[in-house]
Amino acid sequence: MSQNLLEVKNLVKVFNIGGRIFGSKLKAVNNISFNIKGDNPEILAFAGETGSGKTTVARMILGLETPTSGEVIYKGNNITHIKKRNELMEYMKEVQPIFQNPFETFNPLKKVDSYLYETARNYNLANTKNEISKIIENSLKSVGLTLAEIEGRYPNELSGGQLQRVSVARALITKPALLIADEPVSMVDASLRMSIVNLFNELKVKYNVNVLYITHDLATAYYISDRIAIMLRGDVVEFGDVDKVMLLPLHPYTQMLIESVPQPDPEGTWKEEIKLSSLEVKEFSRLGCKFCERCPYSMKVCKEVEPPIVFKEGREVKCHLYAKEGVTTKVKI
Amino acid sequence: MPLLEVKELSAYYITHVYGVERDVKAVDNITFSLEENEIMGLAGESGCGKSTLLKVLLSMIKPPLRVLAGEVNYSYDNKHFNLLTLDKKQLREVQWEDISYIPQGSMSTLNPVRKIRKTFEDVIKAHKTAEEKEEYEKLMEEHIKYLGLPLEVLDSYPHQLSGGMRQRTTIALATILKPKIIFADEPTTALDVIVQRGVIQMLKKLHKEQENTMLIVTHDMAVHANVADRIAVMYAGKLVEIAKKETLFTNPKHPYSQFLIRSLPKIGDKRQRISAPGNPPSLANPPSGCRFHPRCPYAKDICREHIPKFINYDKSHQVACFLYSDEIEEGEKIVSESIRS
Repeated sequence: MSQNLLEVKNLVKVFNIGGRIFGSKLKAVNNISFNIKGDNPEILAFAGETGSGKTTVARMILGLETPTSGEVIYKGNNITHIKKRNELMEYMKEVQPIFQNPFETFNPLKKVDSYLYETARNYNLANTKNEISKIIENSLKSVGLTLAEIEGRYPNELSGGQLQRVSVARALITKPALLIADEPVSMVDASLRMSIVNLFNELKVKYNVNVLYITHDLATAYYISDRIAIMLRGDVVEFGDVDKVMLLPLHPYTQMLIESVPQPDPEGTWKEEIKLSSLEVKEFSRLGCKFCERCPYSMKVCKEVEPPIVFKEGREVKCHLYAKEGVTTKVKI
Repeated sequence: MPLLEVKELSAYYITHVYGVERDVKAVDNITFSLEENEIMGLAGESGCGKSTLLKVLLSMIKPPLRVLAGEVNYSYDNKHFNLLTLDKKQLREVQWEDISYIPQGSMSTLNPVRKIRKTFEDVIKAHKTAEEKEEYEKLMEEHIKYLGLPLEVLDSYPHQLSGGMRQRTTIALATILKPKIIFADEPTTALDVIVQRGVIQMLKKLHKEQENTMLIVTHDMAVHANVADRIAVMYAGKLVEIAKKETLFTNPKHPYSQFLIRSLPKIGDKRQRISAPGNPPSLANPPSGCRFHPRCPYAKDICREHIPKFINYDKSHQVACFLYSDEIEEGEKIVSESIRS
């Protein structure tokens, strides 16, 4: 049996808000499990609204946040229990992050190329400066830049698109197997956005890199990813093949979400009105389904019992509608 | 007569620090008009001068921003004036009451230490004199209800509201005096898709029922596709194309608009999308001639030397590109000579 590259099992993260007595608890990530096989590189998208917990998932996989319970297993090792420095280095070498805002990831007082040299040196990739330069040159080449273009430059001299490319190049220096990209294109100019998105696809095909693509932009998620997980208030409500989930969504929330994405097409404007919830924060502490307040098919059971995960039509859905047998028709909003 | 007519408007940020002179040509020779009761979308990437143009159209001009040339003519209800020539008192009469503004980033527009009710009171008191307290309270509550917001909003502080609620409150604040024209600066940016849809719905409803004119600025073409009647595309401080929404999406003329439209990802369509090569230019030191020429696949010699004139391609379609006409824009020289006089 082949080993999974990344295995996430029943991951939970609870944040404590406020003091010990009057404080409250916020379940940011609620029991999430998924696998990345790794033998066939793929792009897995995590999509959801603000506060749905997608960034927290990424931070836990990167080891920046300790899970309250659950496990993150990378190539058979549980990374939540790594203590030794060299083991941690080994893990960090293989899983590299790319952050959201390229203008904030780089210190404005430091030269951009110094980040590349530092990464190469920190992981002891080479001993001489010439060798390091070679490694850097190669990784810059794979993102469509050259060392001459960025050498000695400060972040303010480069455009957002170029900086984000440097970010990706930095992550590629260690030859990672998995990139975790947290909203990598949301701060990049519209005319350059697709070039960065295409870059991830190129990395997947040419360099066998798996990408965990975290985004709120469903259109680019559809464009680039192979599988997608839709998150709502800490739950993964629907998870599966991108064509199945986004073209024939089963969960009422996914249906509403996809229906609400503005299409860049003057013909496809929305017809009917939607209701906005004013109680966004309260949905976190709900016992049953987090969506039941806004759901048009809400039943009594939805308010009380957490919905089970059901396998249906090639994807996982977390909804009571599909838990019972006999409900097979596609519901419409 | 159009409601708003902008004529050869140029506004630069002119700085002189430690002997270094720097001109940022954020709005450069822009001419367009806005008819009554239409929604115009202004598209362009960050740093292309969209927000600066709005500032000038609202006459919120503070140094280092300076208007070097041009007119901003409004005409409605038998009033005709050039906004840039009004004095402070006259400005106060038209700003917010007739010409209103939805600022960018609702997070930072509402005063965090005052209740929303107080902010609304300030607006009404500043414009409507000698009215009873009950009367404007009523006006306030009616407007909030009309926009479908819960009345509790009035008695909350901005931090108690979610981003979408705050944005809708800002829109309520901007429209309470029933203005003739509304300028909205990125009204849906940083909102979730479902909330974004709600906000757009609200803007459309206001437009339909108050019969006002809107100029919506956003970089998101998908939003434009849903609200605008006409779309103007701006690149590096200049307008490059204005067309009806349908025309712009199906038959864009300027190479930049073509890249912009063709690079849009769509759900249900996985074909390869390509974005424009190169990087957006700096406005402090824009390329000579047509500002898009270093990134343009069709660039000719004339593009490197001269600025294309903004011409009428057909009746409702204007474009500035040498592919369609050889006319050269004049006026650039006049402006650059008058900067430091």
